[in-house]
Amino acid sequence: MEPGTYIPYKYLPVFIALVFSTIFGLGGLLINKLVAPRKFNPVKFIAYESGNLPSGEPKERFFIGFFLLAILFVVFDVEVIFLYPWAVAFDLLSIEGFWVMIIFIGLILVGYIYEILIGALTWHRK
Amino acid sequence: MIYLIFAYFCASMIGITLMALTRKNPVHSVLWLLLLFLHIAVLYLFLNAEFLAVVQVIVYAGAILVMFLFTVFLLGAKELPKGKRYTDLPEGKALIGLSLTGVFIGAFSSITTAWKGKYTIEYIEKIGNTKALGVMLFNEYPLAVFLLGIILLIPMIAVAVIAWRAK
Repeated sequence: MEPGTYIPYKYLPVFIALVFSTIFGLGGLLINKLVAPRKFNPVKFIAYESGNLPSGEPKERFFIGFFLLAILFVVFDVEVIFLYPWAVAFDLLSIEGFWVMIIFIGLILVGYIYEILIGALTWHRK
Repeated sequence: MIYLIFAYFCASMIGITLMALTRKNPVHSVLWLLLLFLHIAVLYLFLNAEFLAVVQVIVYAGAILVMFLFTVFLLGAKELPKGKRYTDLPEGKALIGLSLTGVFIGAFSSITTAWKGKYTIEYIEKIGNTKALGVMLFNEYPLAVFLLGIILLIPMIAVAVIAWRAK
């Protein structure tokens, strides 16, 4: 096969699903915009604060735990992504290929156990 | 037909990048970035890199974008600052332009139309994209996987430091 001429036709169903999901998503928004009645008044735009009139912007304090969780999510996501080709190609791996993944998991496991021991994953203590 | 689809993705990627760069609200920028990552995934499909396309969706659109969003929340950046920035300096503009030109020259001069190496399309079609990648990665580049483990350990140390400091 010449490079540049190969087209992965086996992904045609995925592409069709993508096209249809785009049509349905945008079509729902479009029909809603055309059909639904819209009546605006100033009271509708006020933020609801249990009947009181809103008093300025809320204080933005973002809990650091969410950010730590996001970082850990990225780390474990990448680990799982590398685990997948390793598992698929397991019968063709050499002995180094086997052990390097064990070391790779071990490195992240050391970090994970350390996180648990230091209490980075406990959000509120009793 | 396939060229038309390719042309759509190339053109819309430029448009989406411009939209992401010019939004006033950083959260809207991040959402445009999500659309950009999905388009890049399709571009990987055009290169027959199916596994990479799925990784692009799972890791970039899934995990890294969430981290971007939390970074925006953490900094509390409702709107971008109005003052002068380092990208407004003429030296900075020249440096960025020259380095980008260098990258483009390097990339375009190394394009080869001939097919080289033992990983042919037939081989990859026969054993499957993910399996071919796994065999190559773990048999030929075990050191790179080991280094990746150390690189992934560094953010975990950062998490431990932040959690330790937060107490």
